[in-house]
Amino acid sequence: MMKHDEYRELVSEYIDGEMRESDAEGLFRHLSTCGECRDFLKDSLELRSKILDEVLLARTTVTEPFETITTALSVQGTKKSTENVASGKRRSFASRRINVSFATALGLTSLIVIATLLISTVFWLRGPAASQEERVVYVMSLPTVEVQGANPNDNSINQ
Amino acid sequence: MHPSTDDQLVLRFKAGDREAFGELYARYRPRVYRFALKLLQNSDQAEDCTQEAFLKAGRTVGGLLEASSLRAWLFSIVRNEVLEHFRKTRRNGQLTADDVWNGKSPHEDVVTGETTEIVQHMIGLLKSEYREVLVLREYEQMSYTEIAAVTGDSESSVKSRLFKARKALVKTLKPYFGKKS
Repeated sequence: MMKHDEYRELVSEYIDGEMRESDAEGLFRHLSTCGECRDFLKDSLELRSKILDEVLLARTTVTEPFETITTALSVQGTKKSTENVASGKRRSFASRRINVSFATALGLTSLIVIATLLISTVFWLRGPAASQEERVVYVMSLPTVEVQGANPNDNSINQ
Repeated sequence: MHPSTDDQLVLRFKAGDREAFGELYARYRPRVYRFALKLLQNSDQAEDCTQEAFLKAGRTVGGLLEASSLRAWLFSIVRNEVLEHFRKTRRNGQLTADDVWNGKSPHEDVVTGETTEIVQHMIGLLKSEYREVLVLREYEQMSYTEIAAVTGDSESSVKSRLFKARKALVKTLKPYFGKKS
């Protein structure tokens, strides 16, 4: 007579689709009379369901850092590069190669050029205004000079 | 256009097409990494083992006789990398007859959170001998024959370890089952 653990091992095989057909009848006959082994079947299926939950969650949230290994394989002769990849060392940002499409590269270059032109135009426009302001400050700081006859309301000369 | 099969990619790589290995890498890397991560419980170490495994695979795939065994072959390479890491760091004690837990018993460990997280935590507490067969079965849907090819054990040993891992997990996690995760 088989023990409960032997039937439960069959349950484990059954849920994996690995049970032999010849064991099926004995297992199902036992399950029909043993609540504890039925619970084991139910709990094993629930365990699988919880594990699958995590798999599905991981599929939607994990973003893999995908650095192609073919580069490392193609430079096997270059010892340093291979060692860096093998040892998991990350390349510095300055030496990292960025792959973008031609259209993206063109767009980025145009943006940089336009931004540079805009910034230089703003500074060019602001330049003279700043100088004017400085001049005003300079003039205002001079001592006041009164010139006779400069005032049209002043009739002292005629008198 | 249909994606190439593993067989086609291996044949193309053997013929000198390096792009083919890039496709195999893209196809298997997340899964190989996940397997390493489940065993090592450390993302940096898992990353290192995965990279090393793919470098080795790239150098030796030419000698692979049957492309159909590619998956088992890849997983066996990363498993060897993980075992080598365990050997270097002297982690993971020897397997004892009825002990499936790695170090402290899960009963000493108070865990809170969603049931899914608790299940993952408990799987992480299994000894690697049990964890690896469970991960290969549940995450990779491998048959007992394939798992045996990865681990180098007999199918009956795989079957027995899977049962013990499930039995231990079900016993520990029973209070959490039936709750909405």
